[in-house]
Amino acid sequence: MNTRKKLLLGVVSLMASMSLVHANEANITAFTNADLLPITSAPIEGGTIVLKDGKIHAIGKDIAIPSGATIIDATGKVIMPGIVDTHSHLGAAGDINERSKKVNPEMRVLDSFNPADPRIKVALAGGITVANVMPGSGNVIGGQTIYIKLAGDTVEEMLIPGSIGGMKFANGTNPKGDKAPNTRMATAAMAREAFYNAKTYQEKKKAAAKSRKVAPPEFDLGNEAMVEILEGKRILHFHSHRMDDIVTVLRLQKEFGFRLVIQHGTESYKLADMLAGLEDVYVSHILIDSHGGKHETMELRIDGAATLEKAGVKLALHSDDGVIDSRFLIRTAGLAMRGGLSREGALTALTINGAHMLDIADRVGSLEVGKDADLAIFDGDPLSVYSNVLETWINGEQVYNRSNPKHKLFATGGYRISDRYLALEGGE
Amino acid sequence: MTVFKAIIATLIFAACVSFASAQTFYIKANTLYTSSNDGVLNDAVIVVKDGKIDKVGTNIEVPSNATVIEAKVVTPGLIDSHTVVGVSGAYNVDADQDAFEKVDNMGAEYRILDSFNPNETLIAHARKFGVTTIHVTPQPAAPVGGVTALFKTYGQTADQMALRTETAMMFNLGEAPKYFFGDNIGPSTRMATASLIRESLYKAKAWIQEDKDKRKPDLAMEALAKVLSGDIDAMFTAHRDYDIATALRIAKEFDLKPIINYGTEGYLMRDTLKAAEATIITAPTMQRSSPGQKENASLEATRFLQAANIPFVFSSGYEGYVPKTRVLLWEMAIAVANGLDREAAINAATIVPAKLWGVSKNIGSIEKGKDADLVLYDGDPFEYISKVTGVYINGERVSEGG
Repeated sequence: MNTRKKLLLGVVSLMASMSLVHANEANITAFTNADLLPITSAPIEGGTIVLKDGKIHAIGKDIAIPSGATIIDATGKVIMPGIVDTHSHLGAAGDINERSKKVNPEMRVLDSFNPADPRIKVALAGGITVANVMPGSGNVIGGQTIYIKLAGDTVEEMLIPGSIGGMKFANGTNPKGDKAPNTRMATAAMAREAFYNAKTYQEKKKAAAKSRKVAPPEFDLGNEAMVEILEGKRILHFHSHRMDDIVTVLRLQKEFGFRLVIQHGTESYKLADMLAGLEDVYVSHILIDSHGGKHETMELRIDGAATLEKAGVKLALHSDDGVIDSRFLIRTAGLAMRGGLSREGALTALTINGAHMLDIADRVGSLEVGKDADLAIFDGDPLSVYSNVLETWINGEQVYNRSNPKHKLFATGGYRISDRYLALEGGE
Repeated sequence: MTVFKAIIATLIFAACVSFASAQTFYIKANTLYTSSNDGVLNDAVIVVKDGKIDKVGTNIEVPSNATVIEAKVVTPGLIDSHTVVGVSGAYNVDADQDAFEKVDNMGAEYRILDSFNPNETLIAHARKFGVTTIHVTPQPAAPVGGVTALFKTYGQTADQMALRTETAMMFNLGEAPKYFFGDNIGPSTRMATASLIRESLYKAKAWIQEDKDKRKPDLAMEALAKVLSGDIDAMFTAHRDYDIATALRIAKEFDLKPIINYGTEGYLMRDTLKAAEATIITAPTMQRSSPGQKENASLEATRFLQAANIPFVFSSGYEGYVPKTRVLLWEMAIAVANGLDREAAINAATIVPAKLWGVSKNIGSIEKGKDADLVLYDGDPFEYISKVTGVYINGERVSEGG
């Protein structure tokens, strides 16, 4: 390439990058006359929210709209933060339980995740913008989880910047099998042993860091991640249903001091007061249509979430997609209200509390200036069966729009046969 | 026991039996879905006497000393047209699983009545959310699954609770028979499944022709003969459109009234369903939406069926894991939220299934002379946060709701 061509190319690429910057500057959207549910502050009727460069720029009743903003009249619409699903298997179903061994802290669900799974779009139609995608509960340590936004072409694009994800553990029925463990005591022993191994590894690393004379431990992928749990950087998500199983988890937590989310916690209501008194312990709860299906869910109660709330437990509700279809995660919150959970409790359980459980509350879970512009926009009260998600926004971009007939099929079903489906209305 | 003692015992027994129902009480409803020609009534009163509905209307005088129960909304007791509660237990262990004879792909002689456990906790769960009648079926797995039965959700024995001990023969098409039998006795293809069903019906046809005095007793043939004569119905589990087409083909071949269980893709073939005079047993959320034969399930399906005048009835469907059953009311709510007319939704869980299963003389609507099976609500029955505030079967308060 000669100098002239190089120069020309340089100018062209400079212009291109300038125009990119310019486009970003103009990337301002304002929703006006909206009923806003900021979650961490009081609802605002007829308010305005301004999105700029993927973040929430301003929110309030009478605020100035920056020039160049695209203004959208949201009269009659309710806007809440995008829903945070603290327990999901979207994009990975069928690839979440490694059967060859039971203690797998080195495995990453990242490597099982398929961003092209259409169920991700179904979740967007349910107003979900963030998910903790986890390995399954078939193993004592299932592997590393990922905290993702539900938009992007690759999993790397979808990962929430700065987040390293969690670690999945399980006890009770599911990890038990023909191979070890086949008792609860063996399950606990295997979890405990993994922690002792990690502690030894951590101590050896520390000693090696202090003195050149001490050799570092042989590199171990699983222990690297386990040490992050010991250091409080990686939150442990422990699948546990029955009261005695939850108590076993708390016993381990006392021994090793990790930050803990009790996942499912079917009988956690029986321990509500105890759980409320513990630091760094959260409950990510599931509420489904009926008890049963296995022993440890026999005592599921519709008022379980309400009992936890009254005791002051930090509570989220999750889908465990596909146990609950992501579209019906909101219904779970509605049914918990039927069981006595407050409206505020239902809304926080879908948003900010879950964000805390994933260590991403500085970015998502509420409508606050500086947070990511992730929105779920409804045509009515989000907690009513009759309301629909009209639009879902992630990082200031619209990623779902019910008025687009093809998008709507992710809400109603029929997206795999869209041509046949869309012909139906005309046929009547 | 002397004759005298026997008489006394009988009198005491009779007194106990009638104690619960031999009384009159009144239910006042702001909104009353009658599921009869009266439609929806506002500020209506139901008079319940001796376990039956004695009067219904808007101009009924309530005596000042009467027992009165008030509710925002009242509907007839709900009918779940396809469930396995009572036969596939909540613990989900061998000891409580009696809905599926795993070693037999041809089970025409099985009667679900003989598996039914009235004390199963899931029955009380269904009752709590307004279900007063259940159509209990074998697990949808064997090509010829067995004979279903219709029960009230309250009572001590299966026989006492049964409205019909033999209601329908369950035939299963699609993936389930392949999944359960494909690796051993078969079928492992759809054509084999259809062939097994067809063959059994042909055998029954031949058996009917045999000399009654000479032929050997054969329970399976007797049951299938009742299907052919129309004494019991035929229901076909089918999700995919081509499985539904197979069900219609077999029904036509043997002159059976086609009742399609699930009929997940039925909304895509309404003209065909209409021509065949088929009825769909629907489960709106279609349980797990995992890929496979339910992947084209639509929450709008009932709206499309309603517009095409294709009869449908609601069901909670079969669940094999957690949750072990669905709540019928919440299934209906999803259909209504996706455009189904609310009165049509209630009819599809009351009078329509009562007629379909041949029990509309006694249940399915709030009309004089029918059983007092009633559900009371504190608001819109379909809204998440509304509660069922009372459930009555034969005039007896059998649940406080939830």
